[in-house]
Amino acid sequence: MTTESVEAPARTRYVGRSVPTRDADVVVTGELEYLTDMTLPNMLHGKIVRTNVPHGRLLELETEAARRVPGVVAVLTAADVPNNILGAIVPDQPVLVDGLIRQFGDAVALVAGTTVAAAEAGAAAIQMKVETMPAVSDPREALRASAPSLHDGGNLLLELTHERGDVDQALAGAAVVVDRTFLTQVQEHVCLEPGGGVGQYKNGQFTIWAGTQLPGNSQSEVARALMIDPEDVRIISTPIGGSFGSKAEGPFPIFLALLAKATDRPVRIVLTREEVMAVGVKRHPFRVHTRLGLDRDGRIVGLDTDAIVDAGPYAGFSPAVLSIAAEASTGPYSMPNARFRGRAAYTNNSNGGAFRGYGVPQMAFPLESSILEAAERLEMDAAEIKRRNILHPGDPHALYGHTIGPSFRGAETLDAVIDHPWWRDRAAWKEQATGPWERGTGIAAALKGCGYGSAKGDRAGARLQISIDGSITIWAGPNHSGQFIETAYAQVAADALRRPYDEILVVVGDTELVPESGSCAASRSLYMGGGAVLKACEELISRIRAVGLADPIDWNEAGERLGAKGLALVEVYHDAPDVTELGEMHPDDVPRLHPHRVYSSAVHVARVEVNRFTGQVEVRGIACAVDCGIAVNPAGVVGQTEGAILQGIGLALMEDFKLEAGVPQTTSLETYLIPTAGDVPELETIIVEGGEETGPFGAKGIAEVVLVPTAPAITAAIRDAVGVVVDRLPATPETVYRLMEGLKS
Amino acid sequence: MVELLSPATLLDLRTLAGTGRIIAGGTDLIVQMRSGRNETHLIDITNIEDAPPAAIIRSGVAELSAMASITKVVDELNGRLPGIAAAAQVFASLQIRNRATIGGNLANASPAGDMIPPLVAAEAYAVVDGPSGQRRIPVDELITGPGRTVLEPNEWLSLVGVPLFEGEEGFIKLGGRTAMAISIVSLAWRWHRSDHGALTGVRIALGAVAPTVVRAHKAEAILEGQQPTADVVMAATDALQTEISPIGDVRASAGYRQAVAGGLLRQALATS
Repeated sequence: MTTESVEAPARTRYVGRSVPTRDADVVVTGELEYLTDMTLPNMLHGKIVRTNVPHGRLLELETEAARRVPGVVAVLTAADVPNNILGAIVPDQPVLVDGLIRQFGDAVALVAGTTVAAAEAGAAAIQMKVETMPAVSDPREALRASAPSLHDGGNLLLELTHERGDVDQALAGAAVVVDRTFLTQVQEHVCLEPGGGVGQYKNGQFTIWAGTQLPGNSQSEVARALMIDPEDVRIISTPIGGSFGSKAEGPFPIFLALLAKATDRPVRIVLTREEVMAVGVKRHPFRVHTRLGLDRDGRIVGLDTDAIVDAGPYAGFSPAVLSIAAEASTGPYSMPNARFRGRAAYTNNSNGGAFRGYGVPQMAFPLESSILEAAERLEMDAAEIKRRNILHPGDPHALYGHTIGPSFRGAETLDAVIDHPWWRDRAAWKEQATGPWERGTGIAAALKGCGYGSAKGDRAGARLQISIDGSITIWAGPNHSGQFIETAYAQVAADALRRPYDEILVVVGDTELVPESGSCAASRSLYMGGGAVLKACEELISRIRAVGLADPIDWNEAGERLGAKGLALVEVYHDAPDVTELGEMHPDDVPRLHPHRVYSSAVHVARVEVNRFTGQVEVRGIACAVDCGIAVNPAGVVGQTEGAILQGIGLALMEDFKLEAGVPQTTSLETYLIPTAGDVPELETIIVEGGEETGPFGAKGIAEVVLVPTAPAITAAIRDAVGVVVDRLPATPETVYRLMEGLKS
Repeated sequence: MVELLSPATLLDLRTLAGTGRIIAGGTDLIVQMRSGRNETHLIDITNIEDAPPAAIIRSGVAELSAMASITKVVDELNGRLPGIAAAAQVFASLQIRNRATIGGNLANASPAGDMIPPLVAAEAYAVVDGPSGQRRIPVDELITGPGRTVLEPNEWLSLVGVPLFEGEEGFIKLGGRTAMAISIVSLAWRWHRSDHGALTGVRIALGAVAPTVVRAHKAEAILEGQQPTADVVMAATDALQTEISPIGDVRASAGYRQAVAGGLLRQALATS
């Protein structure tokens, strides 16, 4: 790990320092108790009964035999769900199947037993009579009128279109037009903790301990399904052993609530790895048809993008993923004409959900690959083309036309990589290839918005208490999903209050204690949650001033005076400012397109070796420059970047969740490959600092954007090494080999 | 419930043999049991006091323990048998090599077992032990199909004998990643290369391209006595492709395995 800073600004006391992660010691020693480790007295064990066909009709469900299994305490079916509905954006999913089966592994029943074995035996005793129907497994087929409808209203979940300028005219006049279709695969999150939790029902109150990135949504989903007041549902959502988008939605908390209510005992369900792999949400596969036109000077004149997104059986977050993909379809580039058409289709495949990057990696791969191909046809350097087209603050966003804000440092980020020795010395490195291993270097760039986007009501809250002895406790959200965001919140608070970092206690991930703050997602936890923490601290300081205390603050005195006046508890909400510089964008389009005010960017250089006999690709090094605003915790930025690059290597080279007619084929880690320690190349993070006026101490969110350039940088390097255009992910040995054979013939 | 028996001596093992399934490192068997394989009695052969040493050399043959961890065996070889060492280097992961045994890899009889091709290319033999004493079987006759061997339920593998070799030998694995991947195709070889570049004593074995690890006799015959010129290599890889019958599965298609087996041979000829 190496880190260098471009233009480090004047430091505050804690912000800007690599303060160790809170709880790091108990995480690395394995002492931390995760929610799936929890046990409560008198606790039962739950098992989910699932379908083994991707499409069909559940005709009969025989549960009597299961109820007679020794140790089985409860068996629940759709009839036991008061309001059998689920879905964060579109409520189109049953909690338990009551008719149509739309996905392999759809839940049909829940069993609670005194032991795991009893619950499993009960689950195995349930008989299902199913009328099997042909799976709708190709999203293009799904959109045809002849396809069976998976939902009322057909299989087109959402179509999103927008055009700026006149793309057809621009492409007609372009010096080169790259016209190609790209495919991306289904990707599984593979969290270390597969998932699980405990539910309890006591005195009319539900408590659900289950890792989720979006505790407020779990709370409202449980309340809706059980037809109870959300106030009666408490979600405790941390600590969580990784999520990356996977633990943000779905019926799991409802299952716990239903079983706890039915049995009047605490119930734990721990999902198996195979269960999560087979049934859990996945990164959406995209089919993207791109037409990119450039003039003779390498300036992009127009881009036409047509994307078909396999949403799977239920809407989940697919509409939002499509919207974020549209905004990122033009990448970090400026161009006068751009068009996007995206259609999300229902199928019987894996359910598409949130996954780090949220549709943006699927856009960057086609665009970056097309720019590389255009560069070759123009006989220009790909990095130089990027430089000529990179967005600058004040430019209009290429698709939406709103004005790019002052903190965007795409050009500096690109230059940091262009100046990197791995890019500069690529020709010499390539010449030193030996044996069957050809060498190549690639570069790729990306942008992603921070937060939900304009007109989405992006809001985070913080509650702060000063006690009589002056000590500070902060309850804030979003919670953490493995990154221990409490660390950064405490750094922000320590500087805002000018108190030692260790004196700030931060609590996250509990709907009863933390004000509703939305999701730990959308690269917003620090940007939004840190903003709320800062606002709470500023409010406390102003109250301290109001009770007559001046610097240096006597914190004991402050605690006493504020306590006496009933002012010791601060509760604030921080609202993300929407885009104000609309530029060319029509105001009516803001609530439809949700443009971001703040963007981060990342640029990667990748060096790879490709075996000319087998098509194997080994990544030798990836350097990532990241435009993160102020790095509140530089080691945290590096950690996010390195982890993202590994997920990006998986996306680029090996991760491939396969289904045959809707039936998952890769449900274990033997057949679904992710990078191991042996696949980690030399990694480098270059922090390109700036300052975002709407972020806490100038911070922006970066945890997603750093993943986006990895795959296109690697495929560009493969092209440099052996001359093939990788048009689908992953670039497995077989894919690369076939492309090389294609070149020969 | 599974009962685990842990004999301390070979005599105890001979007495117990046949009353349960033999388990060594368990790196395949335990995984299979988690997926539903039913075993009620296991006999652990990793704590036998008078088990053979990890590796000893006698009269041109390296005798490798089939019951010791692959890590121990390779450490003991100390640079000898580079084909075996190369296979061990890419066998699963360090943690698995610290438990898994050569005997277990042979008895599990996967066509993709990475320790098998170098043993077949070396024309190694296995020593099968059991209540009625020891017998010696060529490794390529030990395995009869995927998961099938000539071992009786009361027999186990105690040694493999690998002829020492002065020429070139090696092993290449093509997997989906650099560690912890089941081979898509693997290739092991032994040959002598004269000062003029002619190959003699050519032995080639391939993994994951047929129901068992296979020798490429036709390709061997084409290379024998020849310099590996472009034409000779082409003829050898063409022949090799007629000697294998790979299947397509979730890891790779049959066509790719068929084609890339020749690629591995080209790589072996170019790099060793």
